[in-house]
Amino acid sequence: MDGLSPTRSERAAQTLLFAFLATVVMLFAGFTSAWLIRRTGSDWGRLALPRLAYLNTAVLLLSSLTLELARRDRRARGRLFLPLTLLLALLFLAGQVGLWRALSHGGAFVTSTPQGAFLFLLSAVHALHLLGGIATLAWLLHRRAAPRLAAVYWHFLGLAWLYVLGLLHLA
Amino acid sequence: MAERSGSGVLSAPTAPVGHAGAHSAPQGYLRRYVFSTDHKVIGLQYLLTAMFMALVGGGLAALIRVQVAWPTLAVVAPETYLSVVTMHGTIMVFFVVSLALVSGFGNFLIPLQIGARDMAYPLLNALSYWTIVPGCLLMLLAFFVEGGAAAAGWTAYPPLSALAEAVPGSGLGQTLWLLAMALFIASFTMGGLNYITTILNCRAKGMTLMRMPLSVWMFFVSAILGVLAFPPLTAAALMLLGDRHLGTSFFLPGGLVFGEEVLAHEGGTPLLFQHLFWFLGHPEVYVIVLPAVGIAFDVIAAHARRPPFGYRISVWATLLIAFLSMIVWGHHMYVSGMNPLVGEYFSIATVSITAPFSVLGINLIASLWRAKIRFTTAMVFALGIISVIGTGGLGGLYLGTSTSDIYFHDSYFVVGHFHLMIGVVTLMGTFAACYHWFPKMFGRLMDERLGKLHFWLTYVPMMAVFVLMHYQGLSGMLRRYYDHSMYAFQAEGIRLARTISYFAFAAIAGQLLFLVNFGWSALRGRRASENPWEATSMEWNTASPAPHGNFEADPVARRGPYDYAPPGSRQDFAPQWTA
Repeated sequence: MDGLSPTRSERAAQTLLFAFLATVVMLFAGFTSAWLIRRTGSDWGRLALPRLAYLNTAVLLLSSLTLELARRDRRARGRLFLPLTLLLALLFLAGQVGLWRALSHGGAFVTSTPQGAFLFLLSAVHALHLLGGIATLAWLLHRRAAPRLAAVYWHFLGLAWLYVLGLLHLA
Repeated sequence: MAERSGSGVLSAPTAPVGHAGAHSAPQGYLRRYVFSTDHKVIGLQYLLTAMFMALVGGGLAALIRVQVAWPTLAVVAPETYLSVVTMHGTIMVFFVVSLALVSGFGNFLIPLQIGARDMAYPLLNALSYWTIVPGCLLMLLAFFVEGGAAAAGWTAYPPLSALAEAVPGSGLGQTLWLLAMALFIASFTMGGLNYITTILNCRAKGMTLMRMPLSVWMFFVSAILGVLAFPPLTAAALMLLGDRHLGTSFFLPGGLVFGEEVLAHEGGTPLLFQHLFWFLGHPEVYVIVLPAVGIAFDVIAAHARRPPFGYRISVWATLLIAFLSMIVWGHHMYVSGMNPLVGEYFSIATVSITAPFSVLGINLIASLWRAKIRFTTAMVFALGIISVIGTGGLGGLYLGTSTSDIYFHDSYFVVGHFHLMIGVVTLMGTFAACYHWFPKMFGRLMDERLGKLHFWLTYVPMMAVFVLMHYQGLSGMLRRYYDHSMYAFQAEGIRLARTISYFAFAAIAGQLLFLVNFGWSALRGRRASENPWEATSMEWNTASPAPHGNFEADPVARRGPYDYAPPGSRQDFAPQWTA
């Protein structure tokens, strides 16, 4: 067994990815239970999300779409989608920074309300996971390799962000 | 080494096994022994790191015993005492037992026992080890910073852990504690993911899941528990950092007064942290206890010359234990003012773990039925595990039930119980593994006479220490007190303190003997053959010490892992690799 066979190697990568996603699910489950408890506090209120939050969401979902196209279309034209996805990802991150700034001007940021604290924490943790995804995509681009499991991870992060947004909405 | 080190963790288009060339060992001292990606070297690195940390953790234990038994000596200052207790617990649970047993032997044994050449991701494995090294250093550094090491207990409950000004150790010491734990969790998660991937994908031909040794099964279940239970603690640690450094109020309620000043925090709840902590904390018990039980099964089979009783039932019982262990965390919090109905649920769920765990215990005992026992050092340690699990498990019944736990909470009964389960069982598992698999590490045998002495200096004093602590707890003596003699209600329990301390010193001396034996035997021990115990599982199908790449030819599993005393055979064992 000098290295695993390609199918076995692919399966191993799948196992690793899905096990890792399970840890991320448990991480957000931990935050969710904290959110469930914390919202019963006396100082809990509503959080008005600026429009930028939804714009960012649209950008992230669009990046999922372009990455999916990159995954399916292996022809020359398809190669354009990977750098496009990276651009959209960076745009999303810039947008998140903008969101944090907008909220800190509005006085809803980290310390002033518990919702602000959750927004900051959850979006920061999400952004950190996204950075890992960006690094992987950049590496794939560098190697001229087609995204396969990276796309699964990326779609998962899109779903995770929708989940975070949903939580903040329920607040 | 010619591994494809550029392969990304997520996409890994190339083979995940870490060497393209057949069995070409890496050249150069650094690549071979320091920055190695060989699972055996990494396992050994973990083991040696854990031994070093054990010297610190054991030293702290000695300090605690001196302080409790001779409070007038005041060997440590009152504010330092809490730091000592906190660091002893943290270091022993995470940086000694988890490292030695789960990370150390998990790494060393899994590929060898399933017939793989290495972990699925050797580079990730090395990264996992080199993440824990700075973790250890940060944890130790905390002793030397202003205010001293963390003092909020190994459980790091807020507000003590959340307010930097609460006690001296709540300052920089607590921050370092959190950072070190973050590195530990990162390292442990990388390790766990690698174990799961390796066991599911890299088994040798013929090595079905139900042909894996029970030790591998237990490492597998332990890894699953670890990767699922640690993330909520990560979430809690991040929120704690927010409360400490960003002024958030996740865990801090309103109206806290420090000095004359009312703190600005509002609306948080310290109980939330307790829930998140114990959601990890309880499964963590099984993360470290299960591998010890698995090792006991393996060692007992080899030295009792018969297959373990009820292999399949043991596997299913272990899976059931793992599931139940994730829904019983509340039994650590009965006195936190929870609804009695919730307490009732946690009591029932906790006590129901007794059923599958007793199955494991009974299977271990039944494995000795009509056995031809060879009383080697590894074997006596494995037998000791059965005894300690039984004794420790009994105390667990009283602590798992809310009605009795409310009396025992924070008493020495608790201290005695959990030391037996996650201290003595796991240490004895580590020792049994050391004595049994030493030939595969160094090609030599550990000294048996010193080993037996080590066993008696471990088993007798440790049982004495922790069983006597149960009595102290029954009499009402509480844990974490700097000077028990100042309280009349603890007068009864304190009478045992010096006796316990003498036994504790004997136990510590016994462990030094082990370190001497380990070091001496590694260099000068009797040379071991390929299969000195005449054992059947796959790791004995290769040279001692196991070479780089583990096996000469690709191994094939042709039968179960424990074919001892097969009918109609002149030999009393049939190795897994023979037809």
